[in-house]
Parts: sequence; C-alpha cells; structure tokens
Amino acid sequence: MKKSILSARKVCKSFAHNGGQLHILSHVDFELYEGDFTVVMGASGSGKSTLLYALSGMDRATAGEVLYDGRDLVDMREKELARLRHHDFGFIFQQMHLISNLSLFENVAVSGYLNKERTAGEVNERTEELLKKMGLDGVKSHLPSQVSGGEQQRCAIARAVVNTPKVLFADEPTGALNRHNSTEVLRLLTDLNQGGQSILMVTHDLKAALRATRLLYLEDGRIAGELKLPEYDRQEEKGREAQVNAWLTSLEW
Amino acid sequence: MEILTILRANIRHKKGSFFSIVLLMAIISMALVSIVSVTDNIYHGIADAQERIHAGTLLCMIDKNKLTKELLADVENHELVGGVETVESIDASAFSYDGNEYGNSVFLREDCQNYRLFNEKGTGYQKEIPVLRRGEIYISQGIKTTLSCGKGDVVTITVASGSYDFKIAGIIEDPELGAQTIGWKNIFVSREDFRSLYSEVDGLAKPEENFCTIVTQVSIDKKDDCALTDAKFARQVNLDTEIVDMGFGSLRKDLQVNYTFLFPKIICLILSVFVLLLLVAVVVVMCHSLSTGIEMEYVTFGVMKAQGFVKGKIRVILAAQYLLAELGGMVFGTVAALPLCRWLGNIFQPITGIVPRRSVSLGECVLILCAVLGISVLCILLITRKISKIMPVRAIAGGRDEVYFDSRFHVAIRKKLFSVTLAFRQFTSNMKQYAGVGAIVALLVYFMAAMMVLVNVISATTAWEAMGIDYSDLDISFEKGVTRQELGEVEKTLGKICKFETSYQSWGNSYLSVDGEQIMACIYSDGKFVKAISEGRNIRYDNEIVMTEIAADNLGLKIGDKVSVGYQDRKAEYMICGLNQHMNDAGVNFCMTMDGAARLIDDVKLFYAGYILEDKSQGENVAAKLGEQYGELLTAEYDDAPMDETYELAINAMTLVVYVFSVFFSMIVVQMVCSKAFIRERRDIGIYKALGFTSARLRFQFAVRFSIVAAFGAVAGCGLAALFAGGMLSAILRQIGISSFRVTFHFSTFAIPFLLICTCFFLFSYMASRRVKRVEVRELVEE
Repeated sequence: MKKSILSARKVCKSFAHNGGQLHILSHVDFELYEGDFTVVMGASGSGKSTLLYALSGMDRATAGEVLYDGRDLVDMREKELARLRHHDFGFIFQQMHLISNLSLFENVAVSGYLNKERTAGEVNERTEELLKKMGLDGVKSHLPSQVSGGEQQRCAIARAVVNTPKVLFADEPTGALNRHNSTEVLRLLTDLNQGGQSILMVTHDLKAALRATRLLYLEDGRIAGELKLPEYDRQEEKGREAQVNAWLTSLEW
Repeated sequence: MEILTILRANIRHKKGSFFSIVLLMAIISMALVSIVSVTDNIYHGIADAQERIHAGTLLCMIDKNKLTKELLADVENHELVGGVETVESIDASAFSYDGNEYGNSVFLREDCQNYRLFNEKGTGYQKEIPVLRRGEIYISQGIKTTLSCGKGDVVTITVASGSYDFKIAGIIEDPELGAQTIGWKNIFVSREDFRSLYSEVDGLAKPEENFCTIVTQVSIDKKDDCALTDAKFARQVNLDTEIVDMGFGSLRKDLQVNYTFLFPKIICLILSVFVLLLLVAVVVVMCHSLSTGIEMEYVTFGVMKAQGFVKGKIRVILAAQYLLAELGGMVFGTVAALPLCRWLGNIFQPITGIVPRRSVSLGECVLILCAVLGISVLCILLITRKISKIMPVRAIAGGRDEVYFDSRFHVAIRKKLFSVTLAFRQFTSNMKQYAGVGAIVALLVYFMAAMMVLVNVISATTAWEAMGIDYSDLDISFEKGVTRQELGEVEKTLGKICKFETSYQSWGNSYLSVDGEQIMACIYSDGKFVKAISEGRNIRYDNEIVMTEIAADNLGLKIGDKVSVGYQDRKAEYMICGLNQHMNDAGVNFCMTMDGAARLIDDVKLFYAGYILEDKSQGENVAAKLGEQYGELLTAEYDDAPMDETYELAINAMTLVVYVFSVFFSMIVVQMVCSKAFIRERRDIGIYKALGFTSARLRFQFAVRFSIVAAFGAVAGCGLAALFAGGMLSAILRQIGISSFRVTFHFSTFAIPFLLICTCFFLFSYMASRRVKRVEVRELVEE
C-alpha cells in the first residue's frame, strides 16, 4: 500500500464571470501517492490546470481542503506557501517560464539558493550535476533566449528538482515542444519517477500520458475515471498505448 | 472621431501615467510662471516707485561746498542732460539702534512728498503719509531689516554737532537707496528738526576727509532723446563736467535697480536653473514612458495598423495624449502660481524694500510654456518614429526581435547577498531601460550637491576669504582714523588679551573715477590684505591697483593697462597689476594701497581693521576690554556670523525648496517608472513566486534594484557637481560679484544628496511595488 503524500477533499474552484460564478472544479477528491507518476487528462476547459494549481499551492481553492503533511494549503499564509514552493514542491510550466536575464545555470541555482538548508557550494554542485544530467552542461552559461525550446524545458525540469522536492508538478511540459524534444523531456521525467520522484502531470498528449503509473480523467471539474498502469517500459509502449486509448475512448475522450 | 475614441480609451487605461505627467508639468509650470512673474513684478515695482519720486538717471552725492554754481550750470547746460534737481541732506556719521550701528552712510532729509509709506505688514501702502512731528523719523526698509528695528523704536543719530534720539514713525519706500543691498540710506526727519540740525552743522568743520556736514544730492536726468545707456551717459557727463569726480559717490538709476533686485535675481536664477533641470527630467520621464509604452503596446499598434490606421495617425494619438497631459498640467500650474507669486513677492520685500506688483506675466509665460510644448512635440516625434517599424503580422504574432541580454557588468548571483546580487542582475540586464531614470537622478543630485556647496560656503570663512570677502570676527572702527603706528599699539594690546590673525586694515571704501567711470575703490593699508588674486600679482608699488574681473570686463581693461584714477579735482595714473575677486558693489571695484591712495587723497589714515580670533568664546570680552581701554578712539564689535541672517535664511529656504522638490520628483518618477517596470515584469514576478519567492522578498529586490539605479545616477550627479557646480555657481553669482566661485567639497556635499536620493528611491519603489502582492502564479497558465 503506497503512502498518500497529498490529498484533496471536496476541492472547488470558481471564478467570478459576467456577474455570476463560473465553477471550474466541483468537489474533487484526490490522493497523490508517494513514488507515483500521476497524470491528469481531460478535454480543454475540464479544469486540469486549475486542479494542478490548486493542489500545488500556486492558487487557492475556493472551498474544500488540500492537505499536505497534515496542513491545509488553503489556510496557509503567503510565507508558508512560498516555503512549500521552494522546499517541498517543484513546478514545470508548459511555457518553461525561465527568467530571461539569468543564464541556465543561474535559473536553476536561484531556486536552490532559496533553500536555507543548503550551502551555496552544495547548491552549485547540485546544479552542475542536474545540468549535466539534463545534457545542458555545454550551454549552462547561455541565456534562455539563446537555447532551443527543448533545452529550456530541460532546464525548467532541473530548476524544479534542484531542491529535491517531495512532489513534482508539471503542467503540459511537452505542450510547446516538437516530437524530439517532447520524447527527451518525457524520458527525463520517467527517469526521475523511476528514481523515486512523485510526479503529478497534466497533459492532453497521449504519448505523455503513457508514462503514467496512474491516470485520472477530469470532466466538467470532476474526476470521471482512473486507470492504474505498471511502471513504464519502452518495450511495451504499443500495448500500453492501446490500453490507454481504449480507456479514454470509454470515457468519450 | 476614431482618434478621439482611442485617445479617450488610452487616457482611461493609463490614468496613472497621464496624471503623473499632469502633476510634473503643473509643478514645472507653477515654478516657471512664478519665477518669471516675480522677476517682472519686482522690476516693475522698482520702476513704478522710481517714476513716482522722479528718480534721475544719475544720483551724485557731493559736499554742499563743492557744488559751485558754475559746476551746476555746466551740468544743467550739458547737451545730454534733460533736467537737474538738487536736494540738501545732512550727513550723519552714525545711526544706531539697541547698541548696533548701521555701518554705512546715512543722510537726513526733510522732503518725502512723493514717497509712499508701507502698511504695518509691508505688503502695501498707507493712503497718506502723516506729516512728521519733531523727534520722529521715517526710515527705509534696508535699515529696518539690517538693524531689526521698526515703528515706535527709538534710534540714535549722530551728526557733526552731536547725537540725537529719534522715534521711528514708519517705514518708507525708497527705490533709490532703500534696499538692504544698497549701503547709503536716506532718513526723513520733520521740517523743524531738519532746519534746526541744518543750522547746527552748517559751517562746522567737517570731522575728517571722508565726511562732510551737508551733502547735496544731485539728481541728473538724461534727455528723452538721449540714446546712450545710463552708464555711458554718466561717464560722458562726468568727463565733460567732473560732477561725479567732485562728489564722494554716485549711483546710476540702472544700478539702483540692479542692486535692489540683486538678491531676488540670484534666487530666481538658481531656481530657474533648477526648474530647467526638472524640465529636462520631465522630458526624459515622458520619453521613457512613451518608449516603454510603445514596446508594451506593440501588438495593439499592430492590430491598429491591420485595421487601417496609418503610422501618422497613431503618432498623432500618442502626441495628443501626452500634450493633453502637459496642457492640463500647465493650466493647473499657472492657476497655482497666482498665490505663489504674491507670497514670493512678499518674501523679498524685506530685502528690496519694494512692494512688487501682483500680476502674472501672462504673455511671457505663455511664450515659455509654448516653447516647452514645442520641445515635447519634438521629443514625441522622435520617440514615436519606431511605430513605423511595426508590421501588423509580426506584431500580432507577438514577434518582436528576439531580446538578448548582454552586459559587461554581469555579477554572479550569490547565495550571500542573494536579493542584492539578483537585483543587480535585473538592473544590468536592462540598463537601457534605467538610463533615463539614472539621468534624472544625476540631474537632481547634481543640483542638490551644488546647493550643498552653497550652504557650506555660508558657514566656511575660508571660502569667504577665497572669494575676496573681508571676513572677520572682531571689527574695529576708528572714528577719527589712526596711523599705522597707532593701530600697531592697539594690536599689541589685542595680542595681550588673545591670539588673533589680522584680516584687514583699511581706510575704507570710496568712489573714485577710473577713466571717467566712477567705481568703488577699496583702500587697504597693505597689498597683503587684497585677497583672491586670480590673475597677475598683488600690489607692490604705490602706482599699482588690482581690479576685479567683473570691473575689468565692464571697462574693457586688462593686466598691464594704465588707467587714470580721479578723486575730486585730482588725478593720477596707475597700472593694473592683477585681477581679483571682491564682492563690494556687486563685484565692480578695485583695490589700492593707502600709499597709492595718498597720491589722490590727503592725510590717508586707517579707519577700519578686522581680526579673526583664535578663541571665539572670548570675542565679546575682547571687544569690551578694547572699548574700556581706548574709549572714544575706537568702537570694537564682535560678530562671528559670516552672513546676514536674512540672506542665510533665504539660501537655506532655497536649499530646502530644492531638496523638497527633488524628493517629490523622485517620488513621481519612481512611481511612473516602477508601474511600467511592473507591467513589463509581471510574468517574471509570477515565475519568482512560483519558485518560492515571497512578495516581501520580491518587493525588497525591486526596491534594491531602483536604489542601485539611483546610486549609479547619484554617482554621476556627484561627478557632474564636482566638475560643473563651481562653473554654474560662478555664472549665477557673478551678479553679486563672485566671478570665480571657489568650490570647497566636504564629505557631506556628496553624502547627503547621495543618501537622500537612494533612500527616497528605495522607499518609493518599495511602496510602488505593493502591487507585487496581487500577482498570482496562475497568471502563468496558458490554457
């Protein structure tokens, strides 16, 4: 039995819209288990990203609870949320969102410097190690505008894991990449997961979804289905794809 | 119609920047309109008053006995002279109130028919001048300000026949001699007092060479059709009649205006320069706002072009937007200037002794404001040129040229000083964006440092001496004059009481003619007391003089030139051996030694001496001891304040105005620049928050970054001040006789403006960055 590290209880999220309320998430219950590679899928506007942001503390749920380490993220003060973001959680955006005036090395290290438990030397060492692992050793002093989209996203992954987070959140990490770069990014995420990293990823890309050990389908702000999968193995990708496809078809995807 | 619609929408959308420009322009306009109007009002106030009393083109002071009928007839019949009026006055050797003596010549007169009497506050006039009764006098504003006396106070006036007490019945407006910046003063007494004093002193032997008992004030007016300037007219009349040479002093009408207006002019000049710098700052801010606005609205302009807007129309919209803000500011500023003009006019009244007009010089102000608008239009046209480069397709695709950050100033980001190094990186990554802000800070700090230089000089006696001012703590005056030997005895006594340094020993000042033009001569016992030689050398022989740079410029003379110096009916030739700086008579004077003066004046003695005491605390005691020991031979006064309180107060007030304006300006500039930077960096703020940065840390970083910008600008400003403050102050202070301002820099000269501006930038940018709190990470989500 895997240990739950993040849970959501009846999470709702709504926005003011044309004088009324637009409900994006409706009473979502959710558990994220340690070591899982959980992928949330769903149609556009189903609330995937909203759920991801509510669970990661990037945004506050309108109602319900998001429990991490026994504490509700909804009630946390800004300072506590900030600590969570640089200490326990890592986040990968679809558009990378690297700081344009920092080199790749600095983009990664800046996140590390926020962590008070590590010395500057340790952060620099970890950054070097991650950039090497991501294949960015040769371009570490380049600015984001001087490298390709794939390199930028790999850098964003390195940044997200520099503090060895408990949970890694990824919002459509391959959405802005070509096939080659997408495969590379997914390989890195899979490697991280197989190394023990818990990941929660939102995507509408079937290829990306195949990396999951657990698939959730979101529809109209509710979880409409769940599929458990064995650990990813490239050799079995075709069979896995057919299984996921069939599951999605059953959910009228 | 489409232009109006977009214009309205733009103003609605960018209220902050629109109203900031309105506010900045309102401040500039208010200051410009006030300065121009106050200048005009004071000038017109003096001219009106001069006309009322029929002031002549040249006022000569001449011993009654030397004004012969022939001499007067020569003047009256001169081809350039339109009219001559003479008024007799009694020469008073002393005027004192509450133990303080007025240090210049005072003349008692009886007729004040055309003069006006100030009301209690000095802001207007009384309807009628009450006829003076026995024992009553009217004094002019200059004496009131200098001696701090007023209506109802009793003063003592000494004439050749003795000392008499008089009660001040009111303050009179005297546009000829009434200003505090003019030494001579007319005092009006009752007809009865004048007659009795006149009969007492007339015929008495004059006390010494430099004084006379009855002085005739000869007012010479030039003909209406005489095209010569006042200076050339006076010179010509003197060359032809020697009326000026025969007298002991003269004052032209243009100089009366110049001296009366001297102090307000300096203040207005300094403020004008400051306002011009602020105007440059406003234009820089506006250009920055416009330029970043175009970058941020790149897509909007692309869409507008796609809809058929031509670049000209877009430029017109932008220009109209900024010009409308400027016009609004100008209207507000002009209206706000109305009470300010009145207030400023009243501030200068104690020094000018004139109630200025109360009007706003609308014509001149409109012209100046139009010029300001013209400059803005030019800048707007230049900045908006880049709109032509916006292609609809590229803009809509968000496709501006890729931005590469490349800077030589990159400093590694470190865990220690994390926020500071990160803020520094943000600054170095986009230095161009901050160049305008840096330039504005440089201008503000330059001016603040220049004002510090001025303030430091007020309290630094060494600086006063370097500029040719006879500064001393202890001043001794000898009523009947002493020889060098006698003064030596007094100095021996002084040396026994305390240690001292001699500042000057002099006969005093007198008006002598140099090649026909009368200018002040400062006569010292020795050449070593002639200070601040800027060119050539000091006086060695009795046929040498040192002239101020300003006087030499006015007369077209240089070192080595030989000049004819005249005093009454005697003339002698002297050579200019050096140029110096000396503030007497607004810098138009020359220095000679007593040996040199002896070639023109009989029995030249020492009348004044000044000393700097080592132990200032002994000052009062030393003056009292000398008074006790030498009795009537001398009067010793101790005063360690180098400058009159009124002037010191005015300069300090002006410094305060400069500082307050600078702080206020930094606040608006920071607000404008920060709000633009905030919009540009909203995405980055979101990313930083996603990485775990708190709002407080981001705000601190924001403030540190702007403090770094301010620090760079401030360093540049300090550099500019070190290079140019002296030159600028010399150019301005030349009006009061300082042709070469000796700048003395202290640590505080730069430290105070530097710290103040950096602190202001830190605080204001921290406050302006409060919107960081409102940035949500979810703004980074792209659905």
